[in-house]
Amino acid sequence: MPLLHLVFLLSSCGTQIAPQIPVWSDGISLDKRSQLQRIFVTSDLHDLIVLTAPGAPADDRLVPVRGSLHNDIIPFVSVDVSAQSGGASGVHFSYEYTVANSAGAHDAISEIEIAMPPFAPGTQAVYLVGGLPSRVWLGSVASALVASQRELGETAPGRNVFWVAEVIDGIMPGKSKSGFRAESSLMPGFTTIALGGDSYQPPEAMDEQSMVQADALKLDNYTRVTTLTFGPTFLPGSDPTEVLKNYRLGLKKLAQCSGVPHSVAFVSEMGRLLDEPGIAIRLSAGLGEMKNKPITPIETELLHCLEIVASAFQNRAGGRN
Amino acid sequence: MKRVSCRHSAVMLVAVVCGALTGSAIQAQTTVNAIFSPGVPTRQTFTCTDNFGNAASNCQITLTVTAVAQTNGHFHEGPPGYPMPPHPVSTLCAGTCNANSTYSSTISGCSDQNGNFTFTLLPTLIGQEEYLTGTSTAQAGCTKSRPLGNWGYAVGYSDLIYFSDPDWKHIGGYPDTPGAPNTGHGSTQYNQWMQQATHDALQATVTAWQQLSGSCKICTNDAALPNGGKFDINVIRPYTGSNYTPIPGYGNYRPWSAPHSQHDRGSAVDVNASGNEGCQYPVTVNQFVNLCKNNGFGGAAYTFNEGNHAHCGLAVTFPH
Repeated sequence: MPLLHLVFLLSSCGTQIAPQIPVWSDGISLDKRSQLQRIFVTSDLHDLIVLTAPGAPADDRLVPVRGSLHNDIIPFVSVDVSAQSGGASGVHFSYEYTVANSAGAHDAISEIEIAMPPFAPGTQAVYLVGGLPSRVWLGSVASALVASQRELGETAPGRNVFWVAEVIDGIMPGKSKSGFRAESSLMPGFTTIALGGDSYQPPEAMDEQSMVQADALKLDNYTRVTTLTFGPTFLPGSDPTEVLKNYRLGLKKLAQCSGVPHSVAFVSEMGRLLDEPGIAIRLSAGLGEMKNKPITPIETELLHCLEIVASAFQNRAGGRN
Repeated sequence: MKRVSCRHSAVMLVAVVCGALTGSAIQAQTTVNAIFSPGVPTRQTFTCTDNFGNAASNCQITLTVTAVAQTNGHFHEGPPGYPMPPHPVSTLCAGTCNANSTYSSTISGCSDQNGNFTFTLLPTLIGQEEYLTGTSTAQAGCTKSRPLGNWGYAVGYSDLIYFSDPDWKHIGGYPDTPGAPNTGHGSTQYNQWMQQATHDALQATVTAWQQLSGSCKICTNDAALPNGGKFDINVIRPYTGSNYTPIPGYGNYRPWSAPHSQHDRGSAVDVNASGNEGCQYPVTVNQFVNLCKNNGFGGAAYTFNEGNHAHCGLAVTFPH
């Protein structure tokens, strides 16, 4: 399969949303009195149409104003996870992301957000050590609980680790950038990565009714493309059953996501392995031999992360002994 | 012979005995007895009493609302040659009213058998000081026509604080920054008020910005007026689409439309980028917008790029 095709398929897995904002069409009424809907989205989900009333109060005609959501990106994300000795917990984990933007995209990627659990701020659970690909990118950990696990379907908000650049310094179509690195005491798990372009700029004549509608219709979901990846997820003392629950859910989402290239045989075997009775107890002894080998990048990352988790549990069990 | 006086009473208000206010001349300054939220109807009562303190029924009362000029940072009554329209003022409706009732800046009615005249005050969306002027005319039970005096109040919000962290650069345009348009708010002391939650989110954002950029200061611009409410009113002519004509030297604003209207409640603050009104500590807009979203401000409907500045706002429901 050509690489470009792979990239397109992967990005299409990260469906932006189940559409909530009505799709714009030319026949939509522009009568101010009868038209209560003020927010529409184009059928390709790339532009927001806001019906404005810039005229005199007696003017009954609404005026549509189109604005880009800067979401015409086709991201491909890979992550290199490694475990290193040191730190209070005896081991910490390094996550280094590479983000590519397909040549078929039209916007630059300038925002990268990885959802993490709602750990307490200041705990140094996640920190950035030189975790910037260049000086034009800023990286930080959110102080507010705003992260959405959209890809895993979980609603509890978490904390983002994020990188952001001005759009002129973003990842242009056809380009990639490495070096987004976070260090953490949290073990790897399936998580959601959200990617976006320049921030939305509303038209000047957008009224409050439109703002409220935009918020209620989850405008934020339209400004980001999300997909599955692996990131800091579990505290060192986490229960193996919780860890396995995350991997089972992630694997299920991966299997359902027709756009992500994956081997049915590998995913099926991994699914069976994680469903085996007693796996939570046996995990510390390692995953064991798998008949099917990973083929695609996310399969390789999945196996590697599980091996790291198993090793961490193994070390923990050894420490107790 | 009975002598009638009136007082105004309302929930949470100190009753004002109008009879104590002599003369009918409009006062240049009034005592602010209460603050009413913009756009939120409030039921009020005037009570007519005689000079013995007894309720006076069937007392004809006329009430009129007047705005007090140059209050709440609205120092823009119009430059020479550009007469401004009068301030919008709160409106009144006799009795217990709803959204479909008829409201007017002047109403009349009779006190009931208990001496009460009940009316509904619908506060304007302008944060400003206003006063009610009451007059009575002779009716059965009343001895004579006489002014009842003025009763002052403010329209706005009482929960805003002044953003005054000395470690952060303040900039509010005119007159602090050369070349900035005069938006008629006097100085930055009037346009940088905000809710505590806004302040907290801004502080968290700036802390992150300092850690990342190395810059310890930012240029804050529009936040809210001391009592909130519509941020700009008469400094610019009302926006009328293609007929809109900005006043030379007064900027090109559309005061009644969002996103500027998000500055009504003290829930939003603008942070300047390079070149905006001479800011010496500019932020990079896209990056700062993202920092705002991750540090307590709202999502894309409330926190966004406005070209030459980042607009960071809490996710709040606006009352108007």
